[in-house]
Amino acid sequence: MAITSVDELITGLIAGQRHPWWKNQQTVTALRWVSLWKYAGVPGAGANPLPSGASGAAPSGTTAGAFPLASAAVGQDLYLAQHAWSCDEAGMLTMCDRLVHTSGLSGTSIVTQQVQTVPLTRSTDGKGVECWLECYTQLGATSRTATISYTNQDGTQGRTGTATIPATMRVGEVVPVQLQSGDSGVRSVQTLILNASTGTAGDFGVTLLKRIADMTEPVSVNGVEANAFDLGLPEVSEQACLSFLYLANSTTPGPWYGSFCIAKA
Amino acid sequence: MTLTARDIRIKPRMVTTLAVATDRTQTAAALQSDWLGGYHGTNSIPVGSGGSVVVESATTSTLHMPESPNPVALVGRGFTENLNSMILMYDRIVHTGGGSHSTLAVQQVNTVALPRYTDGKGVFPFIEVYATGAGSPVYGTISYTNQDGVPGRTGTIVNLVAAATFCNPVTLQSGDTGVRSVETVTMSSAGSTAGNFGITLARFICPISRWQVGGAISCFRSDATALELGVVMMPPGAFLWFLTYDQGGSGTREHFFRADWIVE
Repeated sequence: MAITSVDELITGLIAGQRHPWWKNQQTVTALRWVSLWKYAGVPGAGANPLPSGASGAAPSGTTAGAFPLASAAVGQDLYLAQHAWSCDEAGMLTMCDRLVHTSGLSGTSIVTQQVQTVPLTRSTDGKGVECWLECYTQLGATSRTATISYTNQDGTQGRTGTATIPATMRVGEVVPVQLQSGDSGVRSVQTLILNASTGTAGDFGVTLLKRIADMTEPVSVNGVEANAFDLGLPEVSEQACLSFLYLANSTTPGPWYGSFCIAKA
Repeated sequence: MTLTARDIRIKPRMVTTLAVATDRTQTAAALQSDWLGGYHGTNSIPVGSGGSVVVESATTSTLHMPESPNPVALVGRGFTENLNSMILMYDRIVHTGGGSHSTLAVQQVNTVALPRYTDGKGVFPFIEVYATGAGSPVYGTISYTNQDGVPGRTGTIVNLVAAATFCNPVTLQSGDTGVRSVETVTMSSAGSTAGNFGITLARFICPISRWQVGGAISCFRSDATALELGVVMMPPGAFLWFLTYDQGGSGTREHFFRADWIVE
């Protein structure tokens, strides 16, 4: 049910699930997005999506690397109601539900690579589902353009998205896919093709995710404490695979220390 | 405990504080524990393996919680500090001492059962240094039991600083979200003197943020409300433990910390 008053919010917080977390510092390229999925810490690092080179998987809260969420009682829903975190540099942290992920794409192939993602198990209409490319083994030194064929939020196939794969895309780095005009989400991805080789095969994949909340730490190590109103009290699926993206402002972001509360109501 | 918005506005609050004091000199990129003092008076070094449970905050040097047989609600806090560093507040649950920096042998730890947060979810392990081990020792791994009760899991120690008062965090094995107990610890490179370190198990509560006011010599100040803190319910016996993640530079910290509680 919905939270309709501050009293209900407070009750939901007191009965809520608290999830402390931390992720260790990494070396990345400044001003690029990184996924914390593979970073060590608590929870422990997530694994590369399997099977590699195939349609990937639809992770959930029970997937290694995710935050296991306790089920809500019948008639109850889960909401992100509080999140406090800090990092040793200014930057932006995005909490997302990782819906589908694949691996095994090559940074040297210049033919069409099949992706054929598995169906979404949450946010199944694809509305608001974002498509990113995520690196699992470092790619080559030359920036390239990836063209993705996908099915949009209305079920229309053969839509075309593009992403710029940066030079020397490191493990954990992610880049957003720009959708075709008029589209607001993705149900599935069918294929990907590079305009030329990056120089190294590496390993990357497609990640479909639903954004839950964005938080900015404006000054390094000052920390962020966001309440339910700051976050917009977004609903969270009890099967959600919660993970983080971070827009790094330097080459060594982190470590990150945080704790969030999932309220039940 | 049940609370309403009106309760939080009008119920009497118990306020506890850490008075203004002079803290230790900063060390860049290090997690510094306040167990041996800094924010408050010195506490005793845990003795040996086997794990000793932290006594209640009322009888130990820290930011004290109200004495209550029931959980108490953290509904506000204020913080002021003059230097740029991240403060992390934990509930310190179990700790051991007596670890040696000068051996590569597997060292038994065998921490006692957690007296609170007993399922281990969200409980983090640290290597806490009580006496410096000379000769550049390097920490290796721990063997632990995870939040599901699975023993024999391996954590990797992040080597930050192997000197007294500093803490070194541990990354857990894939799929794990916390620790119920730690069985062993192993160095990957031995130092020349034993020094003294232990395992500390603690549950993260929140980062303590500040907002910079004015220039570099001004104090940083911040407040947080009940909703920003998530109306944290602290169990009886919780011990508030502070870690500082320093940002370099030099100087000593001056600070003031205030916590607002509602007790029922």
